[in-house]
Order: sequence, then structure tokens, then C-alpha cells
Amino acid sequence: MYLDNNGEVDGVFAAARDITDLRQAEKALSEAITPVMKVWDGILMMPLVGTVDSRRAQVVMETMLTNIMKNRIKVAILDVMGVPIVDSAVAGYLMKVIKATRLMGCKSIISGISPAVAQTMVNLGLELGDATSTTSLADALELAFDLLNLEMITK
Amino acid sequence: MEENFDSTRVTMTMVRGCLVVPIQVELYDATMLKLQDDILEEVKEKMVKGVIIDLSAVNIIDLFLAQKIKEIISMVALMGAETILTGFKPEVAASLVDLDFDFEDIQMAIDQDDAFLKLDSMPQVLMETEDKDS
Repeated sequence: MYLDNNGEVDGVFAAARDITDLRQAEKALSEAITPVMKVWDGILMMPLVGTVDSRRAQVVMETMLTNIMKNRIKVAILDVMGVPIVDSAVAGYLMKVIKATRLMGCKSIISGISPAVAQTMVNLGLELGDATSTTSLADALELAFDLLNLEMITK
Repeated sequence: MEENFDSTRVTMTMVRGCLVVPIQVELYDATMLKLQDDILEEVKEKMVKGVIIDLSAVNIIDLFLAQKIKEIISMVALMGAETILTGFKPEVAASLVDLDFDFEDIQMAIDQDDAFLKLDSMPQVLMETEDKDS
């Protein structure tokens, strides 16, 4: 704002930048670091790596829900082995995802709960509601197959 | 402009002995109450044991609508039938979670196929096809 001799507003100079490209790049990056993988018919897996803030949690939620709808997913496995800290905020985001997937008729399994994370969560009084959780991805997968009434047979 | 609530009546169908209610119109207060009456009437008339409320055409849900659906499900349960909600769109599911609305024990399915699969596994829901065998 330009002020004249009397201290009154003389004019305003404003500048705007087109940040469309920046936003698009951000979006592409977000989607790249939150990949969703179809593990089997009706089972999807999403590995979370790195810190999870509210913006990331939003992308995770949208990506998962859209995928669940598109591929008629019955079981969604969210792997948190790569998330260094699971505090009350992160647990809150996980709860939201679990609830939203349930609304779409899909069961959630949280895998990759390390001993440290398990301790932190209990010490903070955090729960995951009626979602199941496991340490290993293999256990989560076995559980998913079971939920879909599928059995593994050795040849 | 004449307001004719009958023209916004939801068309319900009977499939395998279950009442399928596709919500495809905008639901105002009066339409909601009419829907409630219609569903309960059908449950009574056709002695329905299972109801599927399909929300796949619903783009926006507010707390009022969500609460009304929950109430309808409770009323249907009192009349001895099981309800399954299907077709929640991702955006709708996300906003309901943001609104912190809890559907508690109500069952959900991704689509009508899945809903029928779930109803099949419930012994108390009798499907018409079973009667034909006996």
C-alpha cells in the first residue's frame, strides 16, 4: 500500500503468481508417495512411509476410498511400518480411515505395528476401535484371505 | 409451481424376498417422512426380512439425512427385518466421518451384490428361492 504525505492510502500494488504448476506437482508427488496396491481380488494394500500430517492423511483417505469403490475392495490393509511415530494425531487419522472404509463395506487391517509403536499407543491410551492390527504384513494378508473365505493350499 | 410430493416417490423393488430401496431423489423433510412410511408399510405388507437401502446416487449427506436413515433402520429392526446400507460414495463416506456421525452396528456393503451376500449369511433372513425347493 502506498501512503501519501498525509498518511492516507494513495494506491495499492498487488502481485499474483500462477502457482498451478506448483500445485499440480505437489499433487502428483502426494499421489506417488501414497501408492495403493491391489494384492488380490478384493484386497488392497497401502504402505505408509514417513511422517503423516493432516494433509497426507487426507490424500491417503481419498486414494483409498476411491480405490475401494473402483475395485470393489472388501479388505484394506494399511501398513504403518514406515511411519516412525504413531501419536494421538496419527492414531486419529487412522481411525478416520478405518471408519470411512467401514461405511463402504470394507474391513480395515492395520499392519506393521512394531513393539515400540504398540507401547506408545497403549501408554497414550490410543485404540484402533474395531479394526484389527498385526505386526507383519504376512499376518495381515492371511487374515484378509480368511475374511474373504479363501484358503491357501500347498500343491 | 405445484409441489407434488407423490412424483418424488422413491421406487422400491422386491428382490429375492428383500426390499431394495434406491435413494435417487433429493430428500426433503416431507419426502423423508413419506419414505419412512412407505418402507415400513412394505415391510409389513410383504413380510420382508431384509432391507437394502442403496445410497449410490446420493452425492451429499447431511446430519439430518444420516440421522433419519438411522431411525428408519431402527424402526425396521423393531419390525423384525435386517437392513444393510450400500453404495456410500467416497466423498460421502469421508464427510460423514468428518461430521463424526456414528452408524454404530449398522451393516454396510459396497454394492447390492455384496449386500445380498451378507444377507445370505444371516439365517434369519429368508430368501424366496429357499421356499421353492421344499
